[in-house]
Amino acid sequence: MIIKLESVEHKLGHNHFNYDFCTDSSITGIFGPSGAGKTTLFNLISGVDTPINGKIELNNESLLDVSKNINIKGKNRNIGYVFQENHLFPHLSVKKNLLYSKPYIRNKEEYISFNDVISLLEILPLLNKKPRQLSGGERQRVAIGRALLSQPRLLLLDEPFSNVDCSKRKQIISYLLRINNHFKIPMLIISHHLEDILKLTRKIVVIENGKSTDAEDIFTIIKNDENPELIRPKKFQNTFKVRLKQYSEIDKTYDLISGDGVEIKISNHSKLLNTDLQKETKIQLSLRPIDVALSLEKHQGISVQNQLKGTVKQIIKNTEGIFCVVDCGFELFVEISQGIINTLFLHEGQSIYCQIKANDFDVVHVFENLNSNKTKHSKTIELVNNLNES
Amino acid sequence: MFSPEEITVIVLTLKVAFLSTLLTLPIAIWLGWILARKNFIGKFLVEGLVNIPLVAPPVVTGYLLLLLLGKNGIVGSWLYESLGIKLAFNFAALIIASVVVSLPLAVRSTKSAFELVDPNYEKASNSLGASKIETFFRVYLPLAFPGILSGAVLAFARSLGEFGATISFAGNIYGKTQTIALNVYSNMQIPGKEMQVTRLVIVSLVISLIAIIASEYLNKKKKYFVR
Repeated sequence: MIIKLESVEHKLGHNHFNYDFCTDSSITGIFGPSGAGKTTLFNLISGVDTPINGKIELNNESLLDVSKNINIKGKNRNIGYVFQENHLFPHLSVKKNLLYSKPYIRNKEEYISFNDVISLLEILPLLNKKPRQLSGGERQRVAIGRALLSQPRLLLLDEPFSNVDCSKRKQIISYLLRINNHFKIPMLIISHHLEDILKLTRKIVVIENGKSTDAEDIFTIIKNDENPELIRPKKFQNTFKVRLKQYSEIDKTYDLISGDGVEIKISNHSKLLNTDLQKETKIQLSLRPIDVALSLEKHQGISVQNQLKGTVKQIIKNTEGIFCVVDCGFELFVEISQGIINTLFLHEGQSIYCQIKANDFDVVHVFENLNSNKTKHSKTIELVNNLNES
Repeated sequence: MFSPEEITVIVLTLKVAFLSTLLTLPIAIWLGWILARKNFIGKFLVEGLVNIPLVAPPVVTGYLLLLLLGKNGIVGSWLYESLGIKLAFNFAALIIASVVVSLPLAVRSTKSAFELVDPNYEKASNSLGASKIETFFRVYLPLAFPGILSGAVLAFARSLGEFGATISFAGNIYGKTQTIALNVYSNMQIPGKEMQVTRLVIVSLVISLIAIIASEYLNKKKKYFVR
């Protein structure tokens, strides 16, 4: 799915907005400070507002082209929009909110089913409740489910973490990755928390003072030291997908392997992990740059369980500090200091070991195995049927 | 308990109140909607015209109706001459007078009910594929429903107590246009009719009280409902 905005100009009162970017990433983060014009961007893509100039394309299909007088109505754009304040209809139950779009999807291919949505977002116990009886996190899940059931080809999420507390944030991130993986639906996600976005994707569009940058990899942005005030490397999170190789009962560690064949050990402190996980289960991890230590050689008799061999690709010095990018099969962003550079004689191209403790990794999401998901799914369907009958 | 004359009057009053409420409601919903949600040239004028019967003496409203719709009125003369329709001093006049005086109260209630509905629900509804009309029926109308109902109750109550506009436009004809209010007024002037007056006054008070309590209850529910 390619989303393209070309010279889109918009005016709201005295504020001018200019958007110009293209992304084909399955998840793209829209990052910027409050009031920069992030929600305005979503309003233009979804057709809530019409810009004064420019083009908006989805998979080469024109949604809007001011010069050609093309402006497809919002309701016909087939874009799911999860609003910051949810806007769940207060007079309808959760179930009726979820099924609101049912009369309007007759001509669409129904690739997202009701049962899938309530199973993946764990909405079943909420179905008969009214929105005012839900917590912030629950409301967010229902709003995501409602948007998904309109069978959209693109999902816009405006600050999905803003109305939920810190622990629930992790949960929402996990739900979003689950949906993205299961339905293969592309998403644009607004947040003013860079850490949250980076747990989901490395592709981001920065919006500042009503202007957008092109969609770029966060590594490129940091390497080029673009926008250092806003993109602060200290807020950076290394994120990578790995597969489960085995669980070691003696060490209580999970042995994982990255797509590039790098082996990693993590300890089982995360609630998302359990010993029943099947081999080859995909897991998304994140790691703070400060949690990686560097050493010139591999050490024996040390408590650190991960010693990844790599090459220093780049050393970045900016106002926030000194960082280096190490290629150890995948790229790792490491926070260092001038002292470390001096002691290790650190330079680009140098061989180095990245030392990471097994419990420094944060488990962002465990992608369920299709088989285990099916069992869970069939249970949910059974429950839904029972509920409908009663 | 009630004499046949009183029963005729009570039945006619309730009939007028019900019918005029039924007619007032769709107009009040439409006017309340456009006044709450739309911006157009002449909005103040529409709002002013709707509200005139609320501030003008009802007798003046009745007189204006007579000038407009009476047999010799601007529209009335045409209706009588070309279609043979007579709108003054009959049951139709009773209903028209009642609708005109109760409309401002009903519109105030529906307008504020629509204003209380967060317009963002419309955005959400559109993004889910609903058109504006569908959004009106599926979101705005149910959310404004308690307010609309309380407007209907107010219109009903206002129509029960209507006197001035009715007597000028529909007259005070027993069995045809004489409602409780007009009957009480007529009998007050006849010695020995005090008991009939008292009975009808009590009936009128009871109906009004029920209507007002219902309206207050629905008003409270409206705020709770929208949240």
